[in-house]
Amino acid sequence: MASPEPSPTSAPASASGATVKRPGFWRRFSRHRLAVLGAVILALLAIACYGAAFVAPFPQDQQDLLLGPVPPSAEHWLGTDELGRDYLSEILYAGQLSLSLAIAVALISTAIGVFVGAVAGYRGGWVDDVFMRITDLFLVVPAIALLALALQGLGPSPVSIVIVLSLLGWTYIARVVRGQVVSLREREFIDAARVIGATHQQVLMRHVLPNLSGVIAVNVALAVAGAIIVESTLSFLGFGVQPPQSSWGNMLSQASGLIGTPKV
Amino acid sequence: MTSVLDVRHLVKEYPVRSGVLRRVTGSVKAVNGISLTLERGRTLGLVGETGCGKSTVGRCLVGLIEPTSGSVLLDGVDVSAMSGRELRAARRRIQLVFQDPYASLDPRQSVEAIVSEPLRLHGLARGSESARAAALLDLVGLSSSVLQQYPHELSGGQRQRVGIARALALEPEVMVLDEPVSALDVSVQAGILNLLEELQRELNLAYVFIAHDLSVVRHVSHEVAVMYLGRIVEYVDADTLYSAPQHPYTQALLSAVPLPDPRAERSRKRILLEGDLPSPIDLPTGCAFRSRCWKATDVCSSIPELRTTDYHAVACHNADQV
Amino acid sequence: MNPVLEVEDLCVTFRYREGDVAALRNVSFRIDPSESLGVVGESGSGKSLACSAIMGLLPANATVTGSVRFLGQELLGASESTLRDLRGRRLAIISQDALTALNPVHTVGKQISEAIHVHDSSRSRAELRDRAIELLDLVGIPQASARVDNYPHEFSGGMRQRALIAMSVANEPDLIIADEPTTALDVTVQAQVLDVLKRIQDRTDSALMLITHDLGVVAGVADRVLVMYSGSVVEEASVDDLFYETSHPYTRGLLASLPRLDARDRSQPLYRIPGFQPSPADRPAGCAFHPRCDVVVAGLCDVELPLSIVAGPGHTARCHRVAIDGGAS
Repeated sequence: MASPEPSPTSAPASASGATVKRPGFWRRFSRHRLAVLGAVILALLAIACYGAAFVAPFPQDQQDLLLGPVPPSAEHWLGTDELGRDYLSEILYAGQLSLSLAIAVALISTAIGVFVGAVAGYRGGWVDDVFMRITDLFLVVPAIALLALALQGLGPSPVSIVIVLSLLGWTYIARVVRGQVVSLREREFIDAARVIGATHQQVLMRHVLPNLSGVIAVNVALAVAGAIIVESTLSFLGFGVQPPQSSWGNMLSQASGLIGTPKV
Repeated sequence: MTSVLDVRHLVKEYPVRSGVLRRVTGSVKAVNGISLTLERGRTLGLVGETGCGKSTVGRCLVGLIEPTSGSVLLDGVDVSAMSGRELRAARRRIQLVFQDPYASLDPRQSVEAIVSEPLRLHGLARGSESARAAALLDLVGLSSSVLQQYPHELSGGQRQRVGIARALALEPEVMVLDEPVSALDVSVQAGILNLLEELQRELNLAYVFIAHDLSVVRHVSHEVAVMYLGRIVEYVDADTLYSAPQHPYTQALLSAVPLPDPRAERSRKRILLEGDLPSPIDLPTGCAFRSRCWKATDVCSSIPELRTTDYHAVACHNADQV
Repeated sequence: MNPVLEVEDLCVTFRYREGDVAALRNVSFRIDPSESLGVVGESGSGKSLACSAIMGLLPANATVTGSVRFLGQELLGASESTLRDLRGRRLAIISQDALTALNPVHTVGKQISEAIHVHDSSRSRAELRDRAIELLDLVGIPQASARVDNYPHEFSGGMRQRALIAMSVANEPDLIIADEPTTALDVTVQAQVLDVLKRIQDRTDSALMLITHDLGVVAGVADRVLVMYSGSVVEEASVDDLFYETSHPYTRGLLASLPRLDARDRSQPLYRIPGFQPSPADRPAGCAFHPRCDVVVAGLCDVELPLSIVAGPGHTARCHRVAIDGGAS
């Protein structure tokens, strides 16, 4: 078909000859120094924990009863426990469980939260009211007490910890996502998609969720950190991961008696 | 010849809630029984000021808002009675171009994805969506080099062209243009207006051109309907409207438009309307314009009907006699 | 006659990591007492930036050079307290967005009184209130004595803009700078607001600097007009000369691209200036308008920056063509 414009319009940028490419995600990310630093620390932590078999100075649970508990030294950077196990190695191995739990919790709770928030925000009306009152309800329940009770009932296995933490953790992201969706819904490109014949589901999947990717990514990161703390708290209190499995929480719990005591 | 678009007694009411319990205590008629007809290859201008309901009409036409009552007929077929898949297929034939070319394009999608989305949604041009998208861009005067660009890399005029290309993808017969140039600079606006006219000639499109700028409406329209608080107050061909407006509101509106002509501006007698637009919740009884009208008399306490004489429809008891 | 405002060689440069960007280049103009100067240009032409530079309201990464003299006093480099004293008293600003310019938690009357009080604390509360009512009445707010106790949200858009005007002119300023004062308003309301602005100006004898993109508004309000393009003033003329003796090809293009209410022939397509206004970061060499110009002189316009050429009495244009052809075309 013929071009109706005698001179095709050119982009302001390409008028000068150069075509501007959208900077890729990695280019934009790499310009952000703090973000890069954070990513590097996270990567090192994950490598150290999941690669503990190669990284840790001592094998898991290797006892040295003759050595007993010693303070940090050149050989044992963080010292040893009463059974002579190297604390650094134990922390790395325990990190496998703590990190796995935290990542699972973050992903599941974000998935639930995004679903609830997106549906509530997009549908509005009574659906919104019902969903949001439920999240309000979660807000007033003392989470730790509920967790302790639930874990007593379910038995404190790692799977039940993930389930319980996920079921409690989704409300925050649900609120954030709902707020974002309510404002996105008013944007004209959502209407534009409706006019060209997109169903509500297609609008949600193609236009609403992609525009939330930043919010979702941030939430997953925060949720991992949050879940580590909650899991540790629970394990410290004795409701979480049970020995002989070790996580950062129950290691802390076992060491709690030693805090403040002078070294031998 | 049947008209491609026929709107009959369109009404859109919004409930008014008040009190702690948000009970419905009344209703506001954003659109109060308007009827329009449009033929292929013609442009109907819909003008009025903020709050007159012109955008609500546009959104009712494309199905973004469900009208409270009244019907929208496309080629004689009532689409307001349809639903679901049938409705979506029928709606293909009437498309909307939005006012704000910044807000109406998804910032996360490339131009190619935006223009080919309607094709994918309706399973058109299967396998050759990219080629079709490039052809559509060519049609609106953009080179295919913008296909891989994102909206934020384009100028306002280019974005509006992308919006037009997206609307054209479904080969509509009617395009609702909701203030398509009001967000653009003058020199860019001229390009878009010319493009719309060329597209109309080439594709025999019918336009409903919604705008507040009377100069732009005069330039593009064959017929013009002037709206005030949800009703059409005057509906006539464009030349007559501008040379011999009958309704006092139209007269005031036209006299308020600043002309880029200093001598004409100095010699002009402006009709300055008194007061402000009444709240739609609390309209004057009878003619809604009478609270600001300098011609108002006792007869205006009854609602004036839109009376047609010689193709000139006016809703005013005291309109000048032709 | 001493000018109210005299701007000479005003340049604004923004410092970015990628390099310096000259956003405003050698802008010079003057406004005489009780004169109305229209400043027109499309978005990105620098018209609002010029306004911010005059008011001393630029971001930290901007460098300003040149001179801005208000009633003979240099504003560039003046202390914040000097500027504060001038703003709102001798120099008034009316912005585009009246809703954000008014504080929602105070009544309109209180805000007008406050505007007077900060510069003149001798008046009693009752006097201030009377003055606020008088001002609201002046800008055509019906039942001003009752409306004075309303909050901004109880006013319509047009009334808010008028209340803002009342507040700005409360101290009878020497210069009113109005930055797109009617852009957000409907035509009938715009007509009311412009009418108020003209009445106020007659009454207080203030000068007016009206920044707008609407050539129609300029035609009705201004005595003299500056046309800005890509950070420079490309044409300056009396309002009649600008519209009837247009010199600069950009101004001609703008006028030709306007759809006209008073057009006789609508069958002709509108003139469209080809291409785009360049961003200040990649302005072409020579005349910034030359790639879009229909009377470009090759080897001159794309090389040399044109100076302001006198096209007639009180009429200048930055265009090589005007120098070659000698005066208005």
